[in-house]
Amino acid sequence: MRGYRITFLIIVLLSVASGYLVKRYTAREFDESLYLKELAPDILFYEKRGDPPYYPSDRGIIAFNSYDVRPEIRGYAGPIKLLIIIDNSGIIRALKILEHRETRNYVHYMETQEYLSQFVGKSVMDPFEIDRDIDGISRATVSVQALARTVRESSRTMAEKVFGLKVPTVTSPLRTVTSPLEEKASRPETIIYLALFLSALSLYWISRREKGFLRFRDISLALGIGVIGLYLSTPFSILHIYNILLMRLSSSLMFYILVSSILLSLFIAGRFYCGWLCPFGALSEFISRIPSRKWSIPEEIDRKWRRLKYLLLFFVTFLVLFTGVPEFGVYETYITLFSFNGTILQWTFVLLMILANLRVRRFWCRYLCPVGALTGMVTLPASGYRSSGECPVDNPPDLHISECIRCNRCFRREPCEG
Amino acid sequence: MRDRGRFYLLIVLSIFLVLLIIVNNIFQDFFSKEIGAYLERRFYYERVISKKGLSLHRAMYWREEKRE
Repeated sequence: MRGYRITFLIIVLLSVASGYLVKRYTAREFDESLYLKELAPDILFYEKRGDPPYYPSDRGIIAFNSYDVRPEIRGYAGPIKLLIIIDNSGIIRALKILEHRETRNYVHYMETQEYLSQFVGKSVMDPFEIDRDIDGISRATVSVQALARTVRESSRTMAEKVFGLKVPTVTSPLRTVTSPLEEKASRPETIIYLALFLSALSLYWISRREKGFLRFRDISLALGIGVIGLYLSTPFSILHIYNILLMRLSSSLMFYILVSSILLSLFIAGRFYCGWLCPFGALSEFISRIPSRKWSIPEEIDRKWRRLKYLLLFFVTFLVLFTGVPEFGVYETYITLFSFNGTILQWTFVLLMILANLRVRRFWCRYLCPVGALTGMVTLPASGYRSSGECPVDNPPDLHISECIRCNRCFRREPCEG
Repeated sequence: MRDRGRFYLLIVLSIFLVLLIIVNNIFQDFFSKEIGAYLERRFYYERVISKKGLSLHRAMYWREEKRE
């Protein structure tokens, strides 16, 4: 396992450094003006000028990149850059998303012209509030809030600075950075997640002493599907880690709580998340329990192929960190399943991974899951775990602790622990 | 086919699908709906604007066109 850790660290460092150097010396500057003609074919825009910079025209209309105006506003994974055209009465004439790093499975509708068209014709004086004058998108709340805030704040700033319009108070950049987190702090989603996480962790600890509490693990797994998967739609994903490594900071408090709670739990309870809360792991385990003949896989083959998830993790990590595009690495089943969106290929894969559980227990978790690989590498040694044939992931008795999902069925307190 | 063979088949199929998904992630933008509009702009630049010694900045072309 030490070898995997070192390899992973080297891959992270090499891919980030080489990706940065390649981009620095070869990347072309993105030419946003290419889209001006598309957005407003009958308007003649001049070259960019001013501070913040904008494209003036001779018809009392300007175009600007929202990132030039309010770069501090962030969605779930960094800023959403928009090209916006407004006129001298403060009406939004057109807009287009130039770039974002939100997970496409969740925000596919946000990118469509059908959704963006609701902003066209609105005044900068409008509130731009989700579910009030802007439609929300379930499972993409943070992203659409950031989109609406970006349009509102950048348009108001430009309307005030360029056209001298009196607009409702434009919040300061510093205030805008902190306010989304403050808003989210009171959101029930965060509280519900924390309650579930802490309850499951408590039950995990209690069940190490009292085996009777193991029956609550099924409830915890079911709540994992219901709450983390279906209600919050935020299963822990390797994309969370990539976004942090790429410094794409989120405006969502839930993002930080989810990541920090799971990473912290690794140090005290190993892969507890996999065994007690992961919604796809839970679904896989419940399907594995359907009475059906399981394939007999020789132990050496099973051990050998468990390395596959580490190799996939290394490959995808290099790809994502070198290119700087987390979207390239989206193959995780839980993203497709719980965003209810994916390509035919992704859905085929999800279906295969679900059905595979009828023959191989928690197939995805054992051989392919990148989160399982990452958390396995970070897991610290723990005594008392020796698989005894009732393991949900069919671990052989002496398998490395990194493969243990801490279901606690086989846990035996050792004499030295008192 | 024995269980071992079935298992290998499942593993190979899974790897194949994962790789296909990743390849699709990388190249999906090249096949998006907007490719037509982008190619049109790009070809127009290569065919007309670049020959006038102007940069890719489309706005400069429109300004020139209006002056003429």
